[in-house]
Amino acid sequence: MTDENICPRCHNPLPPGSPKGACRKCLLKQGLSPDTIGYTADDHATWTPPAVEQLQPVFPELDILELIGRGGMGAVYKARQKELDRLVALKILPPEIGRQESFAQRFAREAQAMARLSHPNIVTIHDFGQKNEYYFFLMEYVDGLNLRQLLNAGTVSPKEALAIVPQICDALQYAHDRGIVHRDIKPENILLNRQGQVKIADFGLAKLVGHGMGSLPVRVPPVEEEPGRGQDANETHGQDARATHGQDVHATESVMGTPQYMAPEQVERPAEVDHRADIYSLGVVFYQMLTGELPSGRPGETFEPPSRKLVIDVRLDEVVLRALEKEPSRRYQQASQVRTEVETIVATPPGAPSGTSQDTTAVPGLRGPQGQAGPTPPSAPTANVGKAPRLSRMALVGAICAAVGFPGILHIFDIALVPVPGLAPGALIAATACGIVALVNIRRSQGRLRGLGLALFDSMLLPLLVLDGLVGWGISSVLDLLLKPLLRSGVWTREEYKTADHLCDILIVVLCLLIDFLIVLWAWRAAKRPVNHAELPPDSVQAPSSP
Amino acid sequence: MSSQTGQPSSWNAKGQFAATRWSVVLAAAKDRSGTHTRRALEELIHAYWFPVYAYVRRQGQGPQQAEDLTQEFFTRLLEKKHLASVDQSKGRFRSFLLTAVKRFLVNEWDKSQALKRGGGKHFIALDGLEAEARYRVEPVNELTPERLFDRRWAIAVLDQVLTRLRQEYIDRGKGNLFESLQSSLADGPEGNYANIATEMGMSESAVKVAAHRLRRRYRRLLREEIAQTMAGPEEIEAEIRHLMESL
Repeated sequence: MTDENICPRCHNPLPPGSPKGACRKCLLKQGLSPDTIGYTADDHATWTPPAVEQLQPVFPELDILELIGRGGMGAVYKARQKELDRLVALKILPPEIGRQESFAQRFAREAQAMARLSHPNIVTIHDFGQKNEYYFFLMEYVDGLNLRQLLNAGTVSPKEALAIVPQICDALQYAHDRGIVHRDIKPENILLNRQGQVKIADFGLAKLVGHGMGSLPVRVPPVEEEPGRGQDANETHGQDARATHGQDVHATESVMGTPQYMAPEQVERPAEVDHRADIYSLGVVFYQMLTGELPSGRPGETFEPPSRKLVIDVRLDEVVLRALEKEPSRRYQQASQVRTEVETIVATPPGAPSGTSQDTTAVPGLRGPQGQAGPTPPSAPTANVGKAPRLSRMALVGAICAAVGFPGILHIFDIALVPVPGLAPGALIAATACGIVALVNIRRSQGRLRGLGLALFDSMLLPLLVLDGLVGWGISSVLDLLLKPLLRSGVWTREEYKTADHLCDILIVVLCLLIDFLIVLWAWRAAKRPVNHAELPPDSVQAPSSP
Repeated sequence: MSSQTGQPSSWNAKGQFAATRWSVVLAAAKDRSGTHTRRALEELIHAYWFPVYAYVRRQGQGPQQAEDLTQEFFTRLLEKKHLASVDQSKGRFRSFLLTAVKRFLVNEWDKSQALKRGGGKHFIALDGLEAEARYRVEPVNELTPERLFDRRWAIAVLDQVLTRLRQEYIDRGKGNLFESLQSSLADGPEGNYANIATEMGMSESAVKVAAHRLRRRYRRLLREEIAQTMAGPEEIEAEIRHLMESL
C-alpha cells in the first residue's frame, strides 16, 4: 500500500536522497506556526470563493443569492431552497481541504454528528455532502448579526451580555452532552437573530477541517467517573484511557481555532483538548463583551477583572475568571454551571447576604441607580454593605458652625447676644463652605449619604441672610427716601409715619421670606436633579448602559 | 544555550526566552569577547558549512580550491573579521553567510596569487572528499549558486533536526521506534499504523500516540533549529516559507 517513491502528503514524487517517507517540503511545512492553520502562501489561503454565478450550476436546487461571509473554514452564501421556498445558508469548504487524506470518511462521520445537533441555540444543519469539488453544508439561515459585528459597533451592554451568555451555555452543554466540542468559539461564530436569540455556528467544524492530519480526541464528559479524574490526567493516563474506550486518538500536531480565543491547552497540548476548552473560549468572549477588550493572551500575564474596567457586579468577575483558568481542571467543568452562576447573580440583588458587592441597588448584576439614571461609581472605600445611607459628616459640621454663628447674625438685627464678635462671620462662612462640600458629596454618593436638606441649609444660611439684609436695607432706604419727605411736609403725622414704617418692615420681611423660599426651592430642585457623568469622580468608569 | 540579558532571543512555547546561537553571535560582534560567542559560531558553522562549499563550487572553483577557500572563509569568520560589518537589520544567519561568502570570494579573486592556506589551523573539519561527493549529487544544470546555497541550506536544516531527533530517541532506547515511525513524520496515511503496530508489538492506538509525540517533538526541534539562525522569533515563519521555496 505504501509507495516508497511518493510523498504521502503532497503526492509528489520523492526526490532522491529524501528522508524516509516524506519529501522535504512537507517536512519543512510541519514547522509552520499553528496560527496559520496549515494554509501557507502556496495553499488555499489565497483561495477565492467562487462567484455566485460559478456556484449556481453546482446547486441547481438552490437559488444562490449572495456571498455573505468567508473565513479560514470556507465561504458562506445566502440561498433559497426552491422547493421549500425557505432561506438557507450554504457553506462550502475550500477544495484544498477535500484533498486531504481520508477526508471523505471523516466528513461523513463528523457532518452526521454535527447534523444531529438540534437545539434552538445551535444553527441547524439541514443537509451536507459533496458536489463536484465542494464539500458543503446546508444550514439554517440566521437573519441578524454576529457578535463580532456587535462588538465592533461597541453596542454590547452588560445587560445584553448577561442575556447572551446563558444561551451560549445552553448550546454548549447540549453539544457537550453529545460528545461534540466546538473548539472555535469566537464572536464570529456567535450569531444573533432579530429576536435576540443566540445561534452558534460551526459546531465541530474545526475538528473536521483540522490540519489534514486527523481528528482530535473527544473526551465525553465523564458522568460516572470520580471527580478527581480531571486533575491527575497526565498524558499517558488520559490517552490510554481514551484508547481503551475506543475513542479516536488520531494524532494531530496542529492547533485549530482562533488563537486569542483558544484555551491554553489547545495551543500547548492539542491532544488533550476536551469540552472545557469551549468554556475557556466562552470566558474570553464574555470578558470581551463586558470590557470591549481581550484578556491579555500572553502566558503568565494577568489581566484586569471586568469590574475594574466598568461598573459591574463583582460576582461576575468570579465567573469570568474561573472560566478563564489556565488549568482546565480549575475551570467550570460544565457549561451549565456557568449558566447557573450567571442566572443566580442576575436574580439576586447584590446586597443579599451571599453577595459581596458594594451597593444596595435596584438592578442586580449592574450597579444600577437608585431610581435615577446613571450607574454608580465602583469600589468607593466608604461603601456600605446593605446599610442605610449615613448622614453626611460635612453637613453636620456645617450645621454646627451655623449654630455657632447664627446668634451673631441676630446682632445685625440689633439683638446683641454673641459673646465673641469675630466668631460669628467666621463660623457662618465655615458653615457655608461645609454646606457646599456636603452638597457635592451627597450628590456624588448617589444615595449613600443623606442629609441634603441640612447641607442646603448650611450652605445657604449665610448667603440668604446677606441677601435678606441687602434687600431689607435697600428697600427700607428707598422707602425712607420716599416717606420721610411725607413726614416733613406734614402730610402724615408721626403716628401715621410709624404705622407706615412698620407696614414697610412687614412688607420687607414678607418679601424676603418669599425670595428666600423661592431660592431655597430652586436650590432644592437643583440639588435633587439626576447626577450627570461629569460630576462623578474621575476614577469611576461608566458602562454604556441604558437607564 | 544560556540566556543572556538584553539579547535578542527566540520564544519557545513555554514563554521562556532562550538566546539563539546567531543572536549570541550578533550581540557579541561588537565586543569580540567570550567563549560563548565562539562556541555558538562554531556550532553554527558546523551545521551549515556545506551550503558554503556548494556555493563556492558552483561559482566555478574546482574541488581543491573550493575546499581551501571554504576553510579560509570560516577561519576568518571565526576570527571575527567579518562580523563587525554585519547588517543587523536582516538578522538571518543564512543571509549573512551568503553575503559574507560573496564578499570573501570577490576579495580572494583579487588576491588569488597570494592565497594563504590557513597555516594549518583548520577549525572546521572539512572532509574534502565527502564534500565533493555530496556536491556531485546535485542536479547540475538549473540552479544558480545562490539558489543552490539556499537549497542546501534547507537540506542542512532538516538534516540537523532529524539527526538530533534520531539521537534523542536512540538515547532513550527507542531507536527502532524512531525508524518505524519516521515515515509518519509528515503524517503518513493511517493505514501504516496497523503495520507498524504488528511490527513493533504495540497496539495501534499506542502507535498513534507515539507518532503524535514524535511529530510534536520534531516540530519543536525544527522550529528551534531555525530559530538558532534567527535574531528574533518573528522571522521563523518567513524563513520556513523561504526554505520551502528553495527546495
